[in-house]
Amino acid sequence: MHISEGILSAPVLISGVALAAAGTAIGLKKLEDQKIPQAAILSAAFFVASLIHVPIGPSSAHLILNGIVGLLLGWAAFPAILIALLLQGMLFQFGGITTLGVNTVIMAAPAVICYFLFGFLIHRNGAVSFCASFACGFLSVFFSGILVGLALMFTEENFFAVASAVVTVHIPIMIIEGFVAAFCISFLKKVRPELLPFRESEPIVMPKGAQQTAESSTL
Amino acid sequence: MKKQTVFKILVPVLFSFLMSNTALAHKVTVFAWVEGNTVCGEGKFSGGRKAQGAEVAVYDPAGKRLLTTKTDENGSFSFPVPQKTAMKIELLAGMGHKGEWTIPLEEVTAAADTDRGGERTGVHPDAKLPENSEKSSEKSTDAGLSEISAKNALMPDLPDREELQKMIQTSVEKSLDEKLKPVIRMLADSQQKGPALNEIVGGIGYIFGIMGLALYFRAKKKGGLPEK
Repeated sequence: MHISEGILSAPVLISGVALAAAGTAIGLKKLEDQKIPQAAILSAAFFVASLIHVPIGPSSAHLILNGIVGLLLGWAAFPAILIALLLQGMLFQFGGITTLGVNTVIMAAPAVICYFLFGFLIHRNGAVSFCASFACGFLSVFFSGILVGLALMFTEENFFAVASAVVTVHIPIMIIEGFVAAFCISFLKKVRPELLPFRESEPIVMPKGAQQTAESSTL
Repeated sequence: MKKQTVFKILVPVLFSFLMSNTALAHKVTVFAWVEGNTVCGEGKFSGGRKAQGAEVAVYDPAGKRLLTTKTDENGSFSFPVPQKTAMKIELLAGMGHKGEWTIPLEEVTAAADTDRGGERTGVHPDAKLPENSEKSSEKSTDAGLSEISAKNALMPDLPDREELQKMIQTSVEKSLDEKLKPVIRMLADSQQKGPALNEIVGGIGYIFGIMGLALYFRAKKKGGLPEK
């Protein structure tokens, strides 16, 4: 998923930087103080997830976890993913510095899209919530593949070939991420529902421990 | 608020541009070396998987494309040295994955020199075919004897010391190439090592450091850190 340096043309790189900057600005504005530690934890998870390789297919695919990052953070997925990608570029030489903007958009934009598509469904009853979060994990990777195809369209001139190649390589990843997202959400629903977005839509019964932390954080 | 946000974005970006020299390598790595008159190389993904069927393009220092080839199912490729220049090898593994490796001029010329020598020695056996057959027949008799006679037979072949020196040099370099193969492979493998633990832990540390900074600035903006 990480596009390397020296492949994309300047207009694509610049528009990527512009979009990433806009998304990051919105994300930082929407990032509440209480959510900063959560964003950092998810950023760290995203940072490490790329080291878990799933050896299926001709290319080398690794976990991305942008679905769960987006589902839990919304717009704040942009700064979280930007920082993680910057560190991946600097420490692991994944992607590159000039492509940082494009890569951020590739991974963060689907996360935000899935947040708005499925985020409000996760507080429904078991099956709907499970399916919504699975779809979130699954489709965010799928959309990322489409975006990779779009970004490469201007250099390799074959959108469908690239996009379908990326998507097929990532099918196992999509399934894994779907389950990761689904189990994360169902776990958080039981243990820490206050971490989930869109919680205004339904009354929440907070467990005792969570209530205490919520009180202490408001104090 | 806005000023601070811009600052927060700009600082890492500027910092990263300063660091971009160290971040020029990519997720796909290529390692290539010169072996006699051919260039051999390997392409690997960071997870250790081989880059199969990836496109390999070779450029000279001026940026002119010299040739293109593809990696086989082992992720390795080889091609004859096209020109006595430094070469930049690019590996395009598709889906936006690209790796680079540069072979310096010295490596190419050293190999080309020995190769020229190799050609010369290669001519010899053909020209002196009868002696060769003599040698082989002697081998069957006695090792010590054949050595002496081979020396005698070879003596007239070596008109001057220079020729002999070149022959020795060639054979030494050839056997060195053979002997060094595993070492070069080891080097290639270590070049293509994945991220180390300290980098992973360091990255996580950076993220939490940034979190701390963000919390600090937010708290400051609100008018001082909250009192307990």
